[in-house]
Amino acid sequence: MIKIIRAVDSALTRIVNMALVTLFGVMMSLAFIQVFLRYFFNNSILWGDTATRTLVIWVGFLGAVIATGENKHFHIDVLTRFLKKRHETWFQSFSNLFAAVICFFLGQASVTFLGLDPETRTFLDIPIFIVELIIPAGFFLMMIRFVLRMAFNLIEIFQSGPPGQDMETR
Amino acid sequence: MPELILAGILLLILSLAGTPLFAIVAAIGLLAFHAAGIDTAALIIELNRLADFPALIAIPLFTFAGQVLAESKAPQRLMNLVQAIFGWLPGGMAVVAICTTAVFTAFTGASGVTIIALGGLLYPSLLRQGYPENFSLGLMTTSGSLGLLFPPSLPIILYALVAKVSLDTLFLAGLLPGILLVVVLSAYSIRVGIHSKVERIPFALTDVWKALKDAAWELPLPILVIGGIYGGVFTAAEAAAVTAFYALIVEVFIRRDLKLFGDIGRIVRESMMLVGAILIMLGAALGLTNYLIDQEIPNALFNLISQYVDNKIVFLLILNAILLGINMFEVFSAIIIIVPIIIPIAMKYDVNPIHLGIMFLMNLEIGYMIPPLALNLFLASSTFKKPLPKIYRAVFPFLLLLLAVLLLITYVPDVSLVLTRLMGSPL
Repeated sequence: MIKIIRAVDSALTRIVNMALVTLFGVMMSLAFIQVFLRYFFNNSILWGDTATRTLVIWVGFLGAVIATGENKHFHIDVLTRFLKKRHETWFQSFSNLFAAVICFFLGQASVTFLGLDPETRTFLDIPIFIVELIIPAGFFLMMIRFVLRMAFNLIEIFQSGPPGQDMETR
Repeated sequence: MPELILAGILLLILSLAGTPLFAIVAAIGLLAFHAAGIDTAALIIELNRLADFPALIAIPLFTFAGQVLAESKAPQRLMNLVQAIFGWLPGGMAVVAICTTAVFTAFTGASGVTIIALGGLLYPSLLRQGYPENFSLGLMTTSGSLGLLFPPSLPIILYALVAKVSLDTLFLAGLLPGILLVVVLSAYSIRVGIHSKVERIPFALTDVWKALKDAAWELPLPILVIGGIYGGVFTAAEAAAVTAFYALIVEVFIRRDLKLFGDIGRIVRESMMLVGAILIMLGAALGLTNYLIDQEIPNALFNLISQYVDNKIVFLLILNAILLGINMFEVFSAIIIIVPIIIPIAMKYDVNPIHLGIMFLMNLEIGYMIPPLALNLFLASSTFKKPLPKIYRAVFPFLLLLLAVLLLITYVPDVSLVLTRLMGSPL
């Protein structure tokens, strides 16, 4: 059971990582090419700016999915600093459950949002709901990661075995 | 009503117990929209509007460039250069520390990396040269957020985005206050240097030349960013694209400090986690803050406050105190959530939003080192292996200096605004 959870978690991490690095590379190159063309040839790719801005959203959401796995979202932990490890883990599991539920609702709202505008097309004649697909996808992936984190917390509480630390340190 | 109070208490406990703040804010947004009978998809519409902000791309690209530079040997080369130029001054090493960390923090965006990356280099040098331990500790802790007012620091970009003011103007406005801060701290350091009879290093032109040659590839970067933006050659977004590309080429292919396959992937990941955290926080907060503005909450707040506070000076004083308290906990979230609410109120008190921005960022800079809970104090304590109370004492004189500068910036708007007026920037 624990093995399966870990396998799912690391497979997810690897896929998101690869997508993130690739899209970041495209975004950076495109942004640079735009500046280059503008200054030396007084020209630019017509759809370039829209595409880079869209890519920022993609890269940001993928980054947020990874940040979820490593507890890098902005948080305040003044309260748990004064707690025992075991109690802290209880708090964490509840926090993760809460965040997962919120991500679910946000994902659901995003699906509704996509449905609002099925017609419009953006750069390169791509339907706009395709480029906006990252929003629900991002929220649902974050939800999955929060659930996985909660699972690790619970395993840590009910087993005195090796805790799910490697998620934090990796 | 009791349900509302209960929900509030629950959210408060959750937020203090380490729940990601975006989830808390989104929860409030979802509840508010639900209660008002608005479809929650409206939250996502606001989030999606982020893509319309032209300087948005500056956030990932500058964050990436900063991380690339931080992990290369560029900081070491920068330090050598500054040392060759300013090392001969009384208090020279301390001035070197101030200038180096200011540039470094501007590029890495004040996430506390400065203390970890440069502290290990600068702190021992300061002690070796004979600076008092408390002074050195205090200086290094302060340096963690110094430089936040210089481009291309991330908090400035974020403020411009949230406050809907021109990023280029805000960069320009931060220049004088930032320099003022560096000068004040340097003056204090020189005094300490003379007082504790620190040995001075003789000036040698050959050293300067050698350090210049060594840093030749990185030198164009600050010139590109600062000159490009201030000179109106580049917009912030363009400067970000050039900086990221240039930093990557120099550190990977020319200086070869970093490996394309070993390091860059990891750096992209690391820096985009921060960008992701910011974006999600922005996305979660935008809908809620716009809703609050629609409901004229800032107006109601203003009416409430104006019963007690009728002049601008007192308002700004109170605002400073509140901001310092909040920034002690979480800096980026503070900008994202509070700025949109405060700006309409401040406008009613006739405060210029650019001036407010510089004041806000200065508060943030100080917030990083306010005892007992601020981030940089903990980082300094663990990096230099000193107990927290010792850090609190060490930071105290620096805190006073920074607060003095904050007061000046608050009550003399021209420190921030004079340059923007001279350059005829849009306000």
